[in-house]
Amino acid sequence: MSSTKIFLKSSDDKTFEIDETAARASETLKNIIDGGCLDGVIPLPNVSSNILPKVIEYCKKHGGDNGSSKKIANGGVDKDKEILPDYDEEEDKREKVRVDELKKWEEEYMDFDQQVLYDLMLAANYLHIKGLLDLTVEKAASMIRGRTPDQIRENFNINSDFTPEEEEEMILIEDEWDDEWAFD
Amino acid sequence: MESLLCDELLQEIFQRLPPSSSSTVPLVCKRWLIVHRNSRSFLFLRVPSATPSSLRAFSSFLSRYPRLSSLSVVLVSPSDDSLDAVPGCEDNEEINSSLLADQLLLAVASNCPHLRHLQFFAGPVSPSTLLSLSSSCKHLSSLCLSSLRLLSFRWLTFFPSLKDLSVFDCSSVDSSDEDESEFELPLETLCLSGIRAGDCGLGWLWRSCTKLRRLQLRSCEGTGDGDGDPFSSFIRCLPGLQELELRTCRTIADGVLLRLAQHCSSLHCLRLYDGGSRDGLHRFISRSRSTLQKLDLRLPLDLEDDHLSAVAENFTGLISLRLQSCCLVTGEGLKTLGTAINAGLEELALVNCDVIERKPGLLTTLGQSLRGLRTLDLSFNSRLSDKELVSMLVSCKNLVDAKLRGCRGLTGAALLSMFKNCKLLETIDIKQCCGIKADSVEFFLLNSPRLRQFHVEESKLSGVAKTCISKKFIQIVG
Repeated sequence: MSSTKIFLKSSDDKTFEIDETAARASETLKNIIDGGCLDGVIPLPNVSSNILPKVIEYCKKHGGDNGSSKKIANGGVDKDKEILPDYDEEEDKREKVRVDELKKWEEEYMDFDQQVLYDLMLAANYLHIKGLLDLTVEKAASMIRGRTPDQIRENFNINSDFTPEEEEEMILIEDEWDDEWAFD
Repeated sequence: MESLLCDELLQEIFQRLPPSSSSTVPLVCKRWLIVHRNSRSFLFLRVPSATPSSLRAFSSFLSRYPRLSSLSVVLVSPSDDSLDAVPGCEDNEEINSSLLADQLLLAVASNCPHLRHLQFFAGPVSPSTLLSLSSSCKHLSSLCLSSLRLLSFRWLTFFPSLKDLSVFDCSSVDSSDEDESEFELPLETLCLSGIRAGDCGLGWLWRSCTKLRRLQLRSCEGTGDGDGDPFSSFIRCLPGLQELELRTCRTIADGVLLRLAQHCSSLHCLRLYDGGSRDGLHRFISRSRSTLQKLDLRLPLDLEDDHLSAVAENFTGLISLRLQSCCLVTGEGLKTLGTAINAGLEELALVNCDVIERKPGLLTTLGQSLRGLRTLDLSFNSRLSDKELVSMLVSCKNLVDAKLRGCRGLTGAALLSMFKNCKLLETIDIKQCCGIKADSVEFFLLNSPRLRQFHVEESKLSGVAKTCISKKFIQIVG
C-alpha cells in the first residue's frame, strides 16, 4: 500500500520525508494533516536535524497507534477478545512474540546519551507523541529512582546550589516530616 | 544540561517516582525542590498533638505545597514520653489541645487555596472555623470531619461546591433548630455517625439536602429531627435518593425503611447491616416503588422465606443480592427468587448462610436459574462440600469473580471444576480454605487463561506457581 509522503523541515532548515500514516503517531502532525493546513513542507522550529530522524524512526515503528509496548501488553488489543468466550491460545502466542519484539526494538532505540534524551523528550512533548514521551520520561525517572541526591546530580550534571547550611537544614526538615509526620 | 527541561516535563518525571524518592529529589537543587513541591497534589499528614511549635511547623510545612488538592490530617495521640511533661504545664497543654483542631484547620484554610478533598480527623471544629475554610477553599468538593463542636450545619451554605460530606461523630453539643427554614444544598453524598436519640440539630440539614443521592447512617439512634415527629424533616431528603446504607441503626431502621417506601421511588441500592424487624423489612419490600438493583442484607435476624418471595415479586430488576449471616432462610425463598429473576442477577452472595449446607441441591437449582451470574460469594460456609459447589459451577459459565474464603470443606476438586467450567474467571479468593493444597493451586494457576487476581496464602504457592504468576502478571493477595 502506498501512502502520501509528508515533508518535515527541522529548525536548521533540513527537510525529511515521512509517510502520512507514520506521521499520524504525532497528535500535532495529525491535527495539521487533518486540518488541511498541509502546504508542502511542515516547519518544525523546535526540532533540530540531529533529533528529527530519531523521531521519524519512532513514528515509523508505531504507525498510527500512540501506545508503547507496555500499553499493548496490558491489553490494548484485548478488546476484541472480550466478546469471544473462547480463549484463543494461538492468538495469545503471536501477541506475545509481537510484544517481545517491540520491547527489544525499544531497548535498542533507547540506547543514546543524555543530550539526546532531553532533546527527544522535548520533541515528543512538542509533537504530542505520547508513547515516545512515556518512554523518555520513564528513562529519566529510572535515573532518579533509588539514588542518593549526589548520584542524581551526577546523572543529570547538576551542581547543587544549596549552601552547606541550607542543605543540612533541608535534610533535617525532610527527614522529620517524612519519618514522623507525613506518609503516603 | 538538565535546565533544558521545562518545569512541566520535570513534573512529569517526578510523578513517576515512588514515595521514597520524595526525600531525595528536593535535595538535588533549588529548582528541583520547588518543582517537586509544586507537583505534589496530595498529602497525608500525621500531626503529633498539641504543642504551639508543632502548630507553627504544620503551617509552614503546608505553605511549601501550594498546589495541594487533596489533604488528610490525622491527630496522633501524644507518645508516652510526653506524659512525663513538666508538672504545672499540664493545664496549659490541656487548653491548647481543645483548641488545636480549630487552629490546625485555620492553618489548612490559609495555606491550601486549591483544596478539593479534605479529610480532617483532628478533633471537633467550630462553625466559625468552617466559615474561614469556606472563604479560602472555594473549590472544596468533599469534606470528612471527625466531629463538630456544635451539632449545626448552617455553615454548609457557604460551601457552594461541596458534594460529599462525612461527619464521623455527631454526638456533640446539640443545638436546637426551631425555625422551619431551609436551603438548597449541593450535597449529593452524606455520611453521618452517632446521632443520639434526643438530638434535634439536624432538621435544617435534612430539609436542605434536596439533591441527595447517597446517604449512609452508622450507629445512629435517631435522625436528629427532635421530639415531635422523629422523621418530619428527614423525609425531605428522600425523594431523589439512589443509595442508602444503614449500619447498626436498630432503633431507627424500621422507621427509615417505612419512610423510604413512602417517599422515595428512585432507590437503586439498599444496604442494611444489622437492623430491621420482620415486619419492617416486609413492609418495605412489598410497598417500595423503587426499581431496586442492589440489595445487601447483613445479619437480618428476622429475614424469612416470605421476604425473599416478596423481593422476587417486587424487585424483578435486581442485579445484585448479598445476604450475610441469615439463619432463618430455608431455601424455598431463594429458589423462588432465582426463578423469578433468573438471567438478570449478576451478583449473588450467600456469606455464612447455613442454609446452603442444610439444603442439598439448593446451589444446583440456583446455578441453573441464574445463568447470567458473574460474581459469586460463598465465603465462610465452612461445611460447604465439593459436591454442592461443583454441581452449581457446571451452570456458571459466565463467572468472573468467585469468593470462597473460609470454605474449609472444599478440596482441589472444587478448583478443578472451576477451571473446567468458568473459563472467564479473573478473580478468585480461596484464603483459609485449608482443604485446598498447593498442587491444586499450581494446576489452577497454570490452566486459567484469564486469571488476574488470586487471593491465596503465600505458603500454597510452589516454585512453578510463582514463575507462572510473574509471567502472566497475576496479582497475588496474601
